[in-house]
Amino acid sequence: MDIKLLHGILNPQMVSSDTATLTRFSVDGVVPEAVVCPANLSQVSEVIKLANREKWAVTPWGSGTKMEIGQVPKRLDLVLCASRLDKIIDIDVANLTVTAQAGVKLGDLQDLLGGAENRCFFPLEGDLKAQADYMCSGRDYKGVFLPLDPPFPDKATLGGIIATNSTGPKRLRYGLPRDLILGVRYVSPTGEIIGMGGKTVKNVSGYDVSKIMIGSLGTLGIIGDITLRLLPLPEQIATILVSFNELTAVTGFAKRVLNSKLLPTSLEVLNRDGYSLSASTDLKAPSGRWCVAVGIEGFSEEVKREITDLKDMAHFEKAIEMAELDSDSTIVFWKNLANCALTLPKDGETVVKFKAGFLISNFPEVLEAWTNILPDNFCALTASAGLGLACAYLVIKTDSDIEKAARLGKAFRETAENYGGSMVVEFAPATLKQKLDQWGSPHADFVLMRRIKDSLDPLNVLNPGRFLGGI
Amino acid sequence: MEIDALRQRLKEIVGEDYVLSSSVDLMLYGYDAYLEMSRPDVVVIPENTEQVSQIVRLACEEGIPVTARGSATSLSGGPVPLKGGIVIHFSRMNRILEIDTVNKRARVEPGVITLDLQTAVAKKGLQYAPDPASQKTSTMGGNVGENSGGPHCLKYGVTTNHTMGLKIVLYDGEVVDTGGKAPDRPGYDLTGLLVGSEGTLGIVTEITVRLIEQPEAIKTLLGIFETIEDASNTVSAIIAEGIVPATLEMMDRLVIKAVEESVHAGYPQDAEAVLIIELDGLKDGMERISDRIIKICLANKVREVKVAKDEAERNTLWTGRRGAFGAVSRLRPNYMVCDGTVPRTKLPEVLRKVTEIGREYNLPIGNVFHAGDGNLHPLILFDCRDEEETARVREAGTKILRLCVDAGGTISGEHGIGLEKLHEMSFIFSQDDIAAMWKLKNAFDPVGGFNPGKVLPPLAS
Amino acid sequence: MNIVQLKKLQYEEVAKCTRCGFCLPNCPTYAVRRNEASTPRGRNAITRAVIEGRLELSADLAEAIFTCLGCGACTKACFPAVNTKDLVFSDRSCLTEVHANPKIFEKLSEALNEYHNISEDDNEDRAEWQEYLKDVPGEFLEKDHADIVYFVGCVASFFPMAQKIPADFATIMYHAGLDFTILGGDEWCCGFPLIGAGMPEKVTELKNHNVEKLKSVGAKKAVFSCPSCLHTWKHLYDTDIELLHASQLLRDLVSQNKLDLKPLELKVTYHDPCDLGRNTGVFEEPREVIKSIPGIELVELPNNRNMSVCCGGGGNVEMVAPDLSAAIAQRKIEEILSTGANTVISSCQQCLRTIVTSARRQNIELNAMDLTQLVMKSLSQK
Ligand SMILES: Cc1cc2nc3c(=O)[nH]c(=O)nc-3n(C[C@H](O)[C@H](O)[C@H](O)COP(=O)(O)OP(=O)(O)OC[C@H]3O[C@@H](n4cnc5c(N)ncnc54)[C@H](O)[C@@H]3O)c2cc1C
Ligand SMILES: Cc1cc2nc3c(=O)[nH]c(=O)nc-3n(C[C@H](O)[C@H](O)[C@H](O)COP(=O)(O)OP(=O)(O)OC[C@H]3O[C@@H](n4cnc5c(N)ncnc54)[C@H](O)[C@@H]3O)c2cc1C
Ligand code: SF4
Ligand code: SF4
Repeated sequence: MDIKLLHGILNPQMVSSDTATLTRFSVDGVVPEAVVCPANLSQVSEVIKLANREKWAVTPWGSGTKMEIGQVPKRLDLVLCASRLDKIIDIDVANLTVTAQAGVKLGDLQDLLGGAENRCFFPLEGDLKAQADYMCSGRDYKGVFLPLDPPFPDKATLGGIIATNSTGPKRLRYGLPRDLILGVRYVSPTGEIIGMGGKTVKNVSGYDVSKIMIGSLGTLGIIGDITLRLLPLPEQIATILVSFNELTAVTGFAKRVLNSKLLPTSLEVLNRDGYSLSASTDLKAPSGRWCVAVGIEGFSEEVKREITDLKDMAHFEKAIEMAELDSDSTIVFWKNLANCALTLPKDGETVVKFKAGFLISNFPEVLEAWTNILPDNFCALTASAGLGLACAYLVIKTDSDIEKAARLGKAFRETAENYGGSMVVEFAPATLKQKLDQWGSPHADFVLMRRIKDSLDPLNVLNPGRFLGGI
Repeated sequence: MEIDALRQRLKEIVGEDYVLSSSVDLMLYGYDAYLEMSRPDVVVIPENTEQVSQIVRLACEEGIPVTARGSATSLSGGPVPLKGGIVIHFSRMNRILEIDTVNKRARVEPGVITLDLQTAVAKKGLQYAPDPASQKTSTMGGNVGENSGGPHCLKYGVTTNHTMGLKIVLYDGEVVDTGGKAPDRPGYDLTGLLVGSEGTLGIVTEITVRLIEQPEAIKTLLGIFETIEDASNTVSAIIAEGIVPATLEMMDRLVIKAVEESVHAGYPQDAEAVLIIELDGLKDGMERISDRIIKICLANKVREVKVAKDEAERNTLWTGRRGAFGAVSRLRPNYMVCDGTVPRTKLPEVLRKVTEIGREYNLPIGNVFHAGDGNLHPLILFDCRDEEETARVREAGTKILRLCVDAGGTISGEHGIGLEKLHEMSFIFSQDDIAAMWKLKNAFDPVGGFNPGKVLPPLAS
Repeated sequence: MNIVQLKKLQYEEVAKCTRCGFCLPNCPTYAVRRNEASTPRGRNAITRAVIEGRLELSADLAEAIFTCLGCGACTKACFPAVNTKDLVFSDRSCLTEVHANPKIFEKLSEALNEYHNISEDDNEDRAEWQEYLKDVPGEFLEKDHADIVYFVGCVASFFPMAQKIPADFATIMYHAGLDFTILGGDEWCCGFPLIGAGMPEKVTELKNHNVEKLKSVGAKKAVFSCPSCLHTWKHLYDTDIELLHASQLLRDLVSQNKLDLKPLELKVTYHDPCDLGRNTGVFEEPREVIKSIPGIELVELPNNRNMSVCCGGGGNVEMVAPDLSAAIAQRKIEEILSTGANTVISSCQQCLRTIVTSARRQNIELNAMDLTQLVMKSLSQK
């Protein structure tokens, strides 16, 4: 690889090829030949065009929290880092939209949004001050938020979240990145800057290209900036923790909640290890084998009503214990859960994470089966009852447990597939990935994915070999 | 292949009665609710996926275009067979295959009428949220084709947000399933790309949608305003207050008048604008929120806020809203809807300019639209038998779309590009953008057989 | 009618159709045939294309145009209220002019010309149904002068299945002490079938005859058990005599307490005949009559009043496409059965005939009664 070619289009400080940097940016142990951090989309475009001419393999890099997702790269010449694409372009509170570059960290963005002024909309002319008094009718709270709660919210970048379709428990109420994205600007695998969508909440002009960028793991383009839908911060938040010994009671409770008119933001089922990850020090561990955490957000009357009803339902299912978290503890609780994988491993250990999606109706069966094949040592289960999603976090010894983890992974996957779903290995050392397919086998629609990739990235420049079916 | 031989082969696939080719039939399958017409070479009405697959395979072998058609209520020429060929009419594939109340999913054939699905799931206490005004006649296949929206999409999102999976016949007749009932299948989001692709990427033969619980309580308000400006300010103020109602729909004087003549929905004929504001969800807190909305309306000089007393009153209000497009043709025989969408804070400004355009071109323009979404629907009234007037309408329409784009908006919020807005695509997309979409088109349909001449303008060479 | 006249008469009407398709789910012929030619929108598009010279007036059009039931359901679903039924009848007239109409209608017209009834019977036998009368003296119906003339109509006069209706109706009126008579052999077909056949000009002779006979009796009121006769009189005949449907007369009798209605333990549903309900606006009177019978439970059809679905017997469709008519009747029967009622009441002998024939053919057990029969049944309970 001829680094000089890169110097032709980027400032020298944007290009690194020292061993330390290259090692830091290695992907699954594969070390790139150079790392570039362009400062704007035109530069990204130039880099990609160059990569096409030189047939380099390029991997986009957000903040690297999720680089374990995906197969071990087939080839890797260049890492393209989004860290300089970190500007927030527009926060439009009145329209409830935000536009930001891919390198912006979610946590930073949420902080800004939460403090955003409650700017009521003003007509274009006239005395703004005078009108302000009567246009706002006394909303007593402020701020907006992006209803996404992926793992590692403080570190994860918007680009990475979109590229991995990363979601968290709140998805139950607020949906996925695909439901929030309004527009995207990206650099195509052949280097053109492409813009789709914008600030309008509805748009059917042309193909909905943003949809296939989501979850495509950087194989179809380098995301530059994104426009997303916002929501007003809820008036009140709370969490109810309910614990049970029997899985039947857990699923009975979940069913009650889901078939009611209540609209919880999240409904997570945690095993004891799972719970220990999210509990902060001042929360005592519940006595049951299972804990169900229900997140509630909304107007104060709604929250009050939901709490009352949830407690009734828990009583009905003979819950062992119940606790109500106030808004501060609620924030801590869910944040801990989102960051849990970071706090787990000690020296010589590593975390493996499996994530499965399956039919909601088979929630009890999947949980039951997974529990039965769980190893004795530490293993956290977290599962979204209303979504048909379950995650298993295993702590394994990096050198000796690989075989065992692979076996477990296969068993987990088989269960998920038996219940109409699939399982992805979200996080694992490269050694494990060689023994356990990350994505599982593709379905018949893979022919289309292959054709899309070939059509958009004919020279296979972006993230070659990391995605489903070797894309 | 000779056309007669083609018809014969098709008859072998779907049966004698379901291949149409008389000159009358061909004329009848050349239109939708937009102006332009064309004519297919033959029409088939298949009964199942297997037949569709055989039809498409045959068409691919013979190099004949295929255009899917639901109820042909598209307002942009979507199902018009521009290049002739085969029209597949989905009127017989109208079975609801499954309503799964535990997983909250329904699986339907594409010819199922949107309202029929809604009625069927309502019996089980659930709802399918997207509610285009044409729901009593539009098909699910058409909704997927156009990514249709409706009043309640402000809160619940449009068709794509509720579509979990599709069964697709590919250009060569192969059948694949995308997505499905379970979440997070690994791979590209093909479902998301197919929704809104207007039948240009594949033919949909089965749709899996998400169902949600019916809300516990609903409250419908009618705000009556003396100026459009006050009404649009109210829209923005409500959102900025942190309230996202289920709907925020606006109608102006011209439309109110037409609707009242048609159905007597109880809108005041002398008002300049009305807003239909609906709240839904838990009953707790709804009273306070509705009071707050009333306060916002008052702050914006509302003349009166009426609250629907019961289900019957609520239905009347909605009947009027859904019939608005049809009702204006009592005034002039034709209307053209400009489906432009703007960030909602731009509504007052854009609406004012729309009125100016009406004056400039000497054309009556009515407004009835999804205000909460910023999705305008200026209805330009005219008589398509008057060619000069029609030409003026097209010009005014283009100008309105340009206006929306200049205000940071786009050219279509829910009706699709079809053949209507090919030219205007260049207002929002660069050649590179369009080339990127062509690459996707080619990946799905390398022979260019699906609904040719729609959505994507040809690339300037 | 020719194209120039068609344009003059109907261009503005058909131009109102914006092809929105809102009428599609309401059209019973589309529900069965599933093609665009069987939709109101399609029929309007044909009319328009003919007027604009894009489509030739030929037998190719006949299928679409002659399979319309004239039920008017589309117009109720249509926000600009395009009168498709009327447009279709104009088209039929044009097709007749160029001899592109179904031949069966030529025969119909010849028969009416010769026999003055649709069943090609000796018109003097019109009062054959009197055989069913039990306690009404025969002379009573042969008065030269009366307050009320009961216009029986061809179907009830000649089709055995329907003949009980006039018998029961006459008995009810007799016991209520009304001064009425019939025209007997002097009653001619009202001409309704000719409109559906595309020969409206041929109605004139029948009309003139009937109006004159009615005058000669000196009646103040004419009462009809056939909604289509009533509709034809109301819309095509120019007379200042009060025109009433049997159900309206019955309602009056009920409200004047002139009927001694006795309990009937029945769960019934009511089918609104197109020409009585949607096309004439009589919805509530028959319901009031039904509800005034003690013990009866009335359950509504899913599609009722303005949204009522045609039984399949309208628009002469039975004559050109019996399969279509039967399939529509079949759907009607399914709708009736879905209510859980064991008896369907209508106020039209043609609807009943269509429904009953179809039910019999499929061996479906279904009680069907005219409103007059229901009232009679209640009166004759012990
Ligand atoms: C132990 C562990 C457990 C995790 N568990 C979960 C979980 O349960 N659920 C979940 O959803 N996530 C999980 N994550 C991932 C986490 O959510 C991610 O941190 C985050 O969502 C991705 O952001 P990032 O900026 O770190 O992306 P990176 O890790 O930097 O990149 C992720 C992928 O996106 C691509 N990419 C990055 N930026 C761009 C861009 N601008 N354009 C195109 N492609 C780009 C990269 O090539 C890479 O393939 C886990 C991570 C770890 C380490
Ligand atoms: C009065 C009126 C009001 C309307 N209101 C709204 C509204 O509120 N919101 C809104 O979004 N739209 C509205 N529309 C537009 C229109 O009704 C919608 O776009 C509707 O979804 C079209 O459905 P259809 O069954 O008529 O489809 P068609 O018009 O037949 O087809 C639409 C498109 O989908 C494609 N298609 C159809 N079936 C398939 C299939 N099986 N596979 C692949 N492609 C297929 C067609 O090729 C075509 O491109 C309105 C239209 C009218 C006339
Ligand atoms: S007849 Fe009426 S409802 Fe039917 S397509 Fe025409 S305008 Fe629409
Ligand atoms: S009158 Fe009845 S049958 Fe005829 S087009 Fe209208 S709805 Fe269809």
